[in-house]
Amino acid sequence: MSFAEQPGAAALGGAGLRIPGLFRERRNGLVTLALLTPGFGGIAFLFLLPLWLVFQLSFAPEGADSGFTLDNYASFLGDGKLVDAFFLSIELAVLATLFSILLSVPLALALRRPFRSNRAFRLLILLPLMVPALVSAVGLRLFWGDVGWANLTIQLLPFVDGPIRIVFTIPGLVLFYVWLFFPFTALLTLAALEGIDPAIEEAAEVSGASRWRVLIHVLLPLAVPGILAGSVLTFIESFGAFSVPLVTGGDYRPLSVQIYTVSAIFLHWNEGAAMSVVMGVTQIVFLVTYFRLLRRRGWSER
Amino acid sequence: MRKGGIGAILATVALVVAACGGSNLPGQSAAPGGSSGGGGAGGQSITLIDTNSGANFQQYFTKTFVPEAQADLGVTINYVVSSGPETLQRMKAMTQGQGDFDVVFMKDNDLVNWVKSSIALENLKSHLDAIPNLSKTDIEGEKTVLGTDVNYEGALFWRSQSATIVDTAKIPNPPKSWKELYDRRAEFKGHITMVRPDAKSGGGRGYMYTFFHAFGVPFDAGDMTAVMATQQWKDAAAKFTDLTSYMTNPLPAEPPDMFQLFKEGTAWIGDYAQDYTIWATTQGLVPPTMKAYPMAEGESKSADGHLVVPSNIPDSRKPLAYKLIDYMLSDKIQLQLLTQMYQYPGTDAWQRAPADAYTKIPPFEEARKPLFTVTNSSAFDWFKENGMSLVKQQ
Amino acid sequence: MSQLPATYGRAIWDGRRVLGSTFLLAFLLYMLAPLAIIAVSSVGKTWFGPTFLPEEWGLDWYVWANSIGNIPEVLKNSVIIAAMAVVMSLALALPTGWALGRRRVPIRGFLSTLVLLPRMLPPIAFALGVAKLFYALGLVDTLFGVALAHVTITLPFALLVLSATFAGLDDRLIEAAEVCGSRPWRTFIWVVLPLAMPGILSAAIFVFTTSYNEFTLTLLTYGPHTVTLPVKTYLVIGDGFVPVASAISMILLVPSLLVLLLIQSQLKPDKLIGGLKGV
Repeated sequence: MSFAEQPGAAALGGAGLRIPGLFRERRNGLVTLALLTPGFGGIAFLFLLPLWLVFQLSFAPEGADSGFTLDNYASFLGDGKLVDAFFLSIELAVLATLFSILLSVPLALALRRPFRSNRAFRLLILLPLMVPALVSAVGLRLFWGDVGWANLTIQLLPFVDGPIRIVFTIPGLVLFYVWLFFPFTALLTLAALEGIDPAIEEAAEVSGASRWRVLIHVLLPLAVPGILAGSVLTFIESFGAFSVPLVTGGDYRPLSVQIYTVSAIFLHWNEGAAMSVVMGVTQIVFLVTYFRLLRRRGWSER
Repeated sequence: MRKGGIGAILATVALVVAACGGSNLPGQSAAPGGSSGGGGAGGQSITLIDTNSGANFQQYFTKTFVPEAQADLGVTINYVVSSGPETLQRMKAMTQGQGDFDVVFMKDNDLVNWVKSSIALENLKSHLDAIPNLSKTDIEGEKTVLGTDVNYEGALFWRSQSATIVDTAKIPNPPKSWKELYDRRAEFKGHITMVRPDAKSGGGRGYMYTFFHAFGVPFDAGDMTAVMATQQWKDAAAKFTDLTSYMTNPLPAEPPDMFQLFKEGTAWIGDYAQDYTIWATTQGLVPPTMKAYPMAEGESKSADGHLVVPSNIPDSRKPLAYKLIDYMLSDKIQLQLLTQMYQYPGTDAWQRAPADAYTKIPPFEEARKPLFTVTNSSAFDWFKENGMSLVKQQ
Repeated sequence: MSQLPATYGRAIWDGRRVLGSTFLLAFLLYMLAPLAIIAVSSVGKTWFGPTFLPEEWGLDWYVWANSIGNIPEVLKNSVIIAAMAVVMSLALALPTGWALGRRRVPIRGFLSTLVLLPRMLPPIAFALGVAKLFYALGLVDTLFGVALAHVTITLPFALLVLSATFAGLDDRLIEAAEVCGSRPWRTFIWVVLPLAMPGILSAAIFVFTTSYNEFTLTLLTYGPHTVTLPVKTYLVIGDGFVPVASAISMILLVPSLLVLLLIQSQLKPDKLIGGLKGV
């Protein structure tokens, strides 16, 4: 499953792209290879190579650069705290993705209508992407903290007695993750919804379906590929989130924070490297499974 | 290939921009340390890496020290703030003769780490002729830091002082000893605070060491296994765990979080660097009713500040590095530490302190008396990695 | 026709305009809240205890921020590095995005996963490898070097967006140009590029903001001459106080927001989002 095999490209008639014209069909693999080289060359040099260095580090004895031992993995997997951190990362990522979708779909639907501040709202979606995570973390900590504006407002209600603890809790973290990472889901959901041919919607309405039916049976199903594509990005970013849980997680420390703690504070870089490898492999497994599921569901054939 | 054409153009543009942007040679651009404009004649520059200073000292260095030093020494000083672990990693990746960290200012436990990591540093005692002011420090006392032989590779710049910090508006009659704090803990439920022991900052680890020491744990008994086998450790650990249930929940991750708690009125009593706390009250960052004082059983003498010269810098730069260190150990600078920043000097300059230096802080000898030297630095490592296991809040 | 459950359901459905407005208002507050409180915190001279507003106001923190941070220089570094990252990312991603989006690529699925790989790990995981590599190549503490380090994580964005953009181009227009006898080069410049411009701009914006806000990779490849705003903020936050961090954050935000406003005046956001169509 790739980017090209998605709704927009459906116009091209499905898998196995035949490109007319300029793009006169050249089975010239060499040309393709030349085109692919800059991008993947960049990834190979800037990312794969350092990653290989880290991979080597993970098998090296503590304090060394090379050598072979499985101790680092053993101490990671044998440490209950760290294993918990792993599952915490997954839990947070899943919840954040779910709630991002719950936020993005109504939002995208609302933004389809033209109204005066529509453009402003669309820019608002971009806001978390413009702000460094550390800054957002501080802001979220202040606003949702025990004496932050959120709590002060809540405590104005008569039946509320004392501050409600939001920071340093899992619901709080999910709330923050959504703030940070929903833009990916929202933008792609919006793009998908706007990419639906209005004629289809009109046809459905003309046939007598109520707005509600059109929404449930026509619009949403067609938007699903976009929603899912966006939520993949949200999931990936949530799984690797670092600054926000560091500042607002309290005793909840997901894997990324633990990698930082083990590497930069305890100075066990080798063990940290092993944890990073596990984290990366997990991400890959998720992605592959995700794409497999999509293919099976037939979404890619839309 | 046609597509390649565009790519080539863009790549060329990238290279051109890169060429224009990458021409920042040392000494030519205003370094981001506030040294713009005041550079010395002759274009000599020296890089001072600071891994020890909090916000208070960062301001001091940038606004006061660097401009004065540049004027007095006639060189440009690149003052860069960084962190211990990252600087260490960068040092490991540098090659001999190519190092660009001329003088590094670090905490004592960082110095121990660097020595243990086999980072080559200059033996400063052997360069006494280049650093005459070094004789104003306790040179022999500096051979060993935190129980580790560091072979005179550090010059003591300042002596940090931890103290119990209290918001006297919330606690008018604060406890005078750790035992009293423990006995009165119910009175302060939810308002006692300390930084997490696995934080970057060592405040929480110092807290634990000091607490355990106050309850008689013999840290000299040997390695940690031996220490932890003692009855005193078991008792102290139990008491500490009990105390944590009376602390702010969760424990602040880093000092800024802890000070935020004081600001909010949630935290009433903690333990932190005296200089930072007093300075913070003058800045309106913490309640003006905050006070700092040492507990009767003593405070651990940790986090002194040392200056080092990495051996991997070009030999031609070493004389300049020694000159800078000599300047930093001069009475002028050392007394600034005392009078402006409430920090005790590393040299004997305190003997020449003006009369009004001690209005907000205890006089030097009185403050240093209750301090005890930390001889078991592996205890700090233990607290760092395992301290949280002793924390049990509901 | 499916019955909506009970009158409540119908009421909600009929009242969806009001519901929609409320929802949007809540969304607005939710998004702006953290930034608003940072703004207030940055001008609060003293702000103790549980109060809605600071007791005293003042610009002290900005003066403070300016004194311990050489903000103009740091700002300049951040912007230059981000711009270089854009140029390099686009240069690498244009040809490859084209191939991924429109040409026959045998292991497309695998390559697609590979592209996302750099975004899947938190930078701390491989930043050490980057640092080692860059030190060996002498790229540390150069604007080019830091920008190149940023390209590691901005390239995936650029590839993602550009391949989708190219894949989503309307073939008929391109074919029409061909049929009219236009040479491939001209077709590319006059037909393809304009069509793809929204996507290219989307990619450019993503890359710019990512680089501008990037922290971990910068931390391990920067030096005295290449301090960027996120690094500066971190160094100040690390041992400093929240109000100062707030002031620096506000300063940091200004160029980001300016870029956003600039782009949106030149390019309608709908076009921007349209550039992602087909992804």
